[in-house]
Amino acid sequence: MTLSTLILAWTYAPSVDTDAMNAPNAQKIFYWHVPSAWSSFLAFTTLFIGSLAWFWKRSEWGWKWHCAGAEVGLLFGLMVITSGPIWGQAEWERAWDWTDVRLNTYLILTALSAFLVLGRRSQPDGEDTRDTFAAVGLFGFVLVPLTAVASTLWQRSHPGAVVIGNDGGMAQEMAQVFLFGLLAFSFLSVGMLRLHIHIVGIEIELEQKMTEFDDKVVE
Amino acid sequence: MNDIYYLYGAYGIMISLYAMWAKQMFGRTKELSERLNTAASISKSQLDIEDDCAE
Repeated sequence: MTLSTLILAWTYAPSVDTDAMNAPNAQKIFYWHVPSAWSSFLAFTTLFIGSLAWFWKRSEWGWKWHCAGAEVGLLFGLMVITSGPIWGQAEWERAWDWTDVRLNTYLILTALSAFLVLGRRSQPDGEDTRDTFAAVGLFGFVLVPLTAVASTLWQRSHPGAVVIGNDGGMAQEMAQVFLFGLLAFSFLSVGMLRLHIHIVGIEIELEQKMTEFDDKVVE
Repeated sequence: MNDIYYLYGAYGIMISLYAMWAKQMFGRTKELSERLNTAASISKSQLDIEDDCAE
């Protein structure tokens, strides 16, 4: 479905008005860029719920959700962080705007997910480690709603709402491809999250069994 | 229009990220499978030792 979105974006969706935008071809980056951002928000929400469940109930599934959310969030975050500046370079003639709130809060979000993924791999699993990373996951989630409303409240470079925008929104064919992309990426991210939860679960179980076995041998 | 190259570049990077994710997941699953096999053989030899001791 994601590949179909790409094909539809290149063949079915019309180009934007050349008077309205400097880079009408590069605008088609939008059909994967925005659904990727949406998917990353789904992953960060999973990360938040998992962190909360770990703190609240010391839930094992909560920790798996935390890990899966960070890993999938990092993938989609990197897609957004790389494709956005490429469009920015084509459209604005500069890749990044350090004064734009949305760009910078999203960059911090992606950096946080990278920290969580790399941190978990470099630290031994235990309650203290989980508490530290879950705290980062919980407080880091504040950036998700902030990023979502940033372009409405403090719009500088990043475009605001385009589907239902003040200028009448986008053309019907463009909206169809865009909504199809959102649906495709939602399915993809849910599938990826389920796969990561499963794999992380097996990794944790295996680690625990090996530790139990080591303890037995020592005894 | 020159901006078509930006479009190719952006999609190229995003598809590469997918490919890296798939490669990483494949490697991780393979490693997990090997570790599971090792764990299974260790627990089997432990059971054998316990049987020998019981005899």
